[in-house]
Amino acid sequence: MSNLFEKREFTILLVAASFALVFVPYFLDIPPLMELSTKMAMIVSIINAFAILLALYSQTKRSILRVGQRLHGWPYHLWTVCLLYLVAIVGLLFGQTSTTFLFFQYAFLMPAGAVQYSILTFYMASAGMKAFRARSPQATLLIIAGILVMLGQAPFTGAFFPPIEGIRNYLAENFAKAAAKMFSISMVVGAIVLCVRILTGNEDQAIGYTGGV
Amino acid sequence: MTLLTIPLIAEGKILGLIIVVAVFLITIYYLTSKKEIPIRRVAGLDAIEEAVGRSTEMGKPHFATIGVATFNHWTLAAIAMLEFQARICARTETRLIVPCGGSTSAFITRPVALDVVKNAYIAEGKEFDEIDMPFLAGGKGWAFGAGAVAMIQKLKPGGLVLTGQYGSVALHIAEQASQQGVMTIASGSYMGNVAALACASDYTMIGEEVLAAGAYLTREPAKLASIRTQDLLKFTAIATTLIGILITLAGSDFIIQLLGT
Repeated sequence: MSNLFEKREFTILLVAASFALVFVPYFLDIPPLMELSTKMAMIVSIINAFAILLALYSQTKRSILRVGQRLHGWPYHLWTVCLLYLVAIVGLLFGQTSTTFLFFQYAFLMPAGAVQYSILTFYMASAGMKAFRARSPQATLLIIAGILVMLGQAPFTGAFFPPIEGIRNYLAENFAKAAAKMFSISMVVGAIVLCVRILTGNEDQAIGYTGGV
Repeated sequence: MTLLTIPLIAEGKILGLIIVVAVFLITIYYLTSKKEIPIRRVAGLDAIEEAVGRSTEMGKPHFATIGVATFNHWTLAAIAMLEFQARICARTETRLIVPCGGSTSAFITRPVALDVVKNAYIAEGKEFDEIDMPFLAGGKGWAFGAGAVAMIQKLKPGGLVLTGQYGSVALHIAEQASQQGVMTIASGSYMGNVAALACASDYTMIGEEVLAAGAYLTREPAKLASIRTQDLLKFTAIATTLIGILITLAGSDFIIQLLGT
């Protein structure tokens, strides 16, 4: 029996059945199938929820190992585990809307996230510096468009030169939106073709097997 | 209002169903016909081998990622690319490091990625050390980003293939890698991300180029031919857009109704 579960064909069949359970009710009005599809989505959510428990176990095991062996950065791991359980206990005892639980959210998570997000601004500037060099007609066009959009985005420029906002909106609503739509279309088409390759067993890395690559 | 309704088929989804079925049939035709169809080169995918080779020559580790999302098309494509890199790394005895994490979903995707890498190593007669696929953080993408950046700064890899689905943290990793002199190949999962990554990376893969990776890297004629379906559909989309513009300018809403069918 265990051999059957390990078979590549069985996995592909399972993937195909799951695919059909989502695909068919989306396009066809068959209420019982829709119900089955919803139940399957619920099963996936439950599996995901269990992954959090797995996360807790895995993180604790890994951190305790590092602390026990005094490996590089062990104090951070000790700090992580202490905070992890403290937040979990506070959340379970007082609820996720309690001021004690929110304290951890506002005092630790939000500032850390905000710091990293603000660092990103500098990274964007340095990445932009490398790209924005007028080495070709296309790059020159990119610089001009970039400058117009940036100026249009800044409130000061809009106050002194109102037409800039119109130009910015035109570029964003037409060229940028068209590019984004094309990106979405190509992505969807690529995803369908990838799906066909997986279902026909032509791309089995996705299901954990070493395929033809 | 739609042009057509068919019993049993959900309203407004007829055209969608026709397109999906057509894509399925055309792709299966290409996969079974095994015709040699010329496919345009994808610079980003071609450069993956170069990035691993660079790491080998420099005697440094090679970094690869699978993203922070659950099992979606980006993650599946990233795993296909990971296998390709794992094989070359095993063959050339280059240390492969795959930082994972950034979401609770990573607890589901990581074991699959680990299995794929281990199998790839076994196929090359080598063994992969699990410690080289560290789980850096749970629910927070930023925490994962900080961990990945720290590893890049410390280990200074020769190459980085940043694939899978990421948010803004992708730029964080790519730009830091670039500043460390790492050859970076990245793929963006949304337009804003692609634009930022194009500035920070040496090579950027756009849209369906990433999703074609599994087939492209095998160089097998049948799988390569399946990529042709993507091109066919893209041309159809472009043609529909152009015809739609003309018809709408002429004052008809036929194309809007047709697409809503």
